[in-house]
Amino acid sequence: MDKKELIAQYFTQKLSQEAQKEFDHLMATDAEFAKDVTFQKNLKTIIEKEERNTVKQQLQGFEAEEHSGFNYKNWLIAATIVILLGLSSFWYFNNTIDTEKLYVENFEPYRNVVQPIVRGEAKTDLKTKAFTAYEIKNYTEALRYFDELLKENPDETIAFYKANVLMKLDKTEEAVAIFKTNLKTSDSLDAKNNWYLALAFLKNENIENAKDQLSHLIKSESTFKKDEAKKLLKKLN
Amino acid sequence: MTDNAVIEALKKRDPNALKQIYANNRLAFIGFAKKYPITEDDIIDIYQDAIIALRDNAVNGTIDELKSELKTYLFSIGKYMIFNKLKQQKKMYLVENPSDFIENKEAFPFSINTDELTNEQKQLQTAFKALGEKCKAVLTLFYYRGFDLEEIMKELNYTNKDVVKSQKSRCLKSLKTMIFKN
Repeated sequence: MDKKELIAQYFTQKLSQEAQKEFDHLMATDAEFAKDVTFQKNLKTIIEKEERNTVKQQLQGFEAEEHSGFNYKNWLIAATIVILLGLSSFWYFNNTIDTEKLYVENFEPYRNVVQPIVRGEAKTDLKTKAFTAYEIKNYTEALRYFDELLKENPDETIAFYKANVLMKLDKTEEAVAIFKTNLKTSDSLDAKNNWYLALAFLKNENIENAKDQLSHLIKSESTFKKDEAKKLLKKLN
Repeated sequence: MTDNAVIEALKKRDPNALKQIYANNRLAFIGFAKKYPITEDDIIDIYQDAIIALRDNAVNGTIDELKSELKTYLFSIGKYMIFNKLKQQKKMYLVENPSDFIENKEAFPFSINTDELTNEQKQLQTAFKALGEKCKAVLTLFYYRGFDLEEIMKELNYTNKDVVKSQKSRCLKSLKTMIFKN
């Protein structure tokens, strides 16, 4: 049999017993033949790999669809559920604002605008240490440094960052106390204190107080988080 | 769709069948995999790889006479892959090979290809990607699906077998030229 034909039959698994013998013999004795078989085996391997990659991409597409829910059927089901719930138990919805979710969506520790941290610079003063820990999200350590700083010198801004850390560490009550104290004196941090206090109330499911803080923020002259506050207030109403 | 119909559709690379089998077993698989110390991202990744292995084995005819349900088969591939992953992450110390944990191995024939490509194969891969669509189609039918010339002729609407044959050898030749040029 023609050598090419022999190889072709090998790959389509159509070799007869006799042809298989011839194939094995050539593999052992004919270097050129063996080389060609290896080449085609490699080709088979990479084509299989290509196929798998294509399918993987398709599957990742399906997975993305599962999450986006942007398909007609899901929308229809979702719309039906919303309508049913809306008709039968409007009050129920009012009581089930997902505060935890809103909190997570909105809360993010205020960025460090106090102490610029330059990587690689070996400053070792307390303030730098505190804000370095804050920036790298090592909140437990940041809390310790902020406490030390405040012991040396009470400062509203540092207290504000400390409260952010407390929120991160789920010590919401302590954070609330700081924001409230800060708000007793009016200064440029007020809007920020309003915003974070609102979020702290939200976390404690104290929706009325949260709304109150958001209203203060929206009425204020500051532009800090104003749009976010409006959106959040709308969701809480 | 019956299991056999799904296998047939997978062989034909029907994207709807793929989507259906993916969506139908997804939640059950996630629930099943959560028993193990493994992240959700890894679970999804493994689930996709298990589907790919299932499809491979459908295409190459390994499961033409599958004795179990397709779902059971899929899950046993998945379980094997989870064990493998845990072993890699050293969260589990296996005395034996992960495949020994699959009950009734005879009922679950499967092969999983996870080998890294050799340098030679990587070169070939680059060359293959540079081929025209016609070449890719012919070579894929031949090497991946094991079609003979006549079957390729029908699938791609060629007029006769000889045209397919010369097309195929032209494609192989241009692959070799590309590789040896490098």
